[in-house]
Amino acid sequence: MDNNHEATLKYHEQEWQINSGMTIRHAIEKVGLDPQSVLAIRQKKLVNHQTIVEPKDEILLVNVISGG
Amino acid sequence: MRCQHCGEVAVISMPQHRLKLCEKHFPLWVERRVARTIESFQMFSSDDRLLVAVSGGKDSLALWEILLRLGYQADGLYIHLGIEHEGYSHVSQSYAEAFAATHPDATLHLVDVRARYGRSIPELAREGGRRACSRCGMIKRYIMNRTAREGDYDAIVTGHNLDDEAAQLLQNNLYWLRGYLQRQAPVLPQTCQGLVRKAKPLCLVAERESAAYTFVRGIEYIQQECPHSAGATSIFHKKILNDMERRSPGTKLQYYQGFVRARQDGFIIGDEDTPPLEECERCGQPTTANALCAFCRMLETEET
Repeated sequence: MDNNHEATLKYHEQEWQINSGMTIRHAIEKVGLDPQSVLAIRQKKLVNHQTIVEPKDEILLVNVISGG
Repeated sequence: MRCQHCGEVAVISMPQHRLKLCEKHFPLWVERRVARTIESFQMFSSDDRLLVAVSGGKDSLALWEILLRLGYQADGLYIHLGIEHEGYSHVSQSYAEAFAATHPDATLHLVDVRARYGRSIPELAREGGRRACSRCGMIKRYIMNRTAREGDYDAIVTGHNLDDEAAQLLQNNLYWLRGYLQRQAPVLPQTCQGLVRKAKPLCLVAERESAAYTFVRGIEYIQQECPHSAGATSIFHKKILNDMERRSPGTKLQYYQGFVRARQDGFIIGDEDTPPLEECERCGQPTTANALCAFCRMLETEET
């Protein structure tokens, strides 16, 4: 697949290039994170995990688990 | 995935409630859920003055927003702990102040631990040879109660969410900490003069719902974690509970609500011989200890 069909997933300092066409949930699992523990933000908007990743998407994952 | 109320695109799916909601209906659902929680546990009334403990994080700011939207008289209390790693305390204070600036009807009280008591939380912990978190909890409880008394507030409200409560319950269960189990409740009434009632109106709102609420309502919060929370047992327990939740949605809610019902039905018996609360000789705050409360003892020990 060429780069035009890739999207970017960001979490803290980490960044992954992923294939478009899969759900955000699948992408989260693919990079080894727990979908329960993150929210997905696209273009500053909260999006549900069943959303399909589009080419050139930049999806920011925000941790929701805090401790202490 | 569509909103079950209006058919618009849903922003969140909550399998434990079999519910998918859009950005308009989700925050309204959270606010209604909190209103029902306050009512069902008789946490406080619409006439009460509330003091919200705000850390600059998602839960406390979400709670403050919800209480104001529900029409409560809710002021905030930010305690500057003096945690300097990457400016943590300053940054979190700035989020609390930014929130307060957009809500002119609410007052934000600021207490700087170092300015008032001479040393920051990390310094007090180092001097006493204790972990920062154990000192932090005790000092925050002291300052919250004292500020609430001095300001004539009827209740202190904290942003503990369902995940916090379920993880705390797991910890208390694993080690059968009877005293802690007995005191873990959605609302702790005023049991003696000088001890202000405490309530946790987010106790039935999951952590991801609370975080999602802040995004949808446009509330900015500190995403950086407290540097002292790295490796915290509570995070480990939350991950275990999330694994269970993924396999069986609703586990956390059933676990916590089952406990609350059992507690209300008298199945949880605390430690015997709990001493009665008396006034601290130095500061007048309630304490189970003779003479000085734990906070004044800490200051006295570390002054010498």
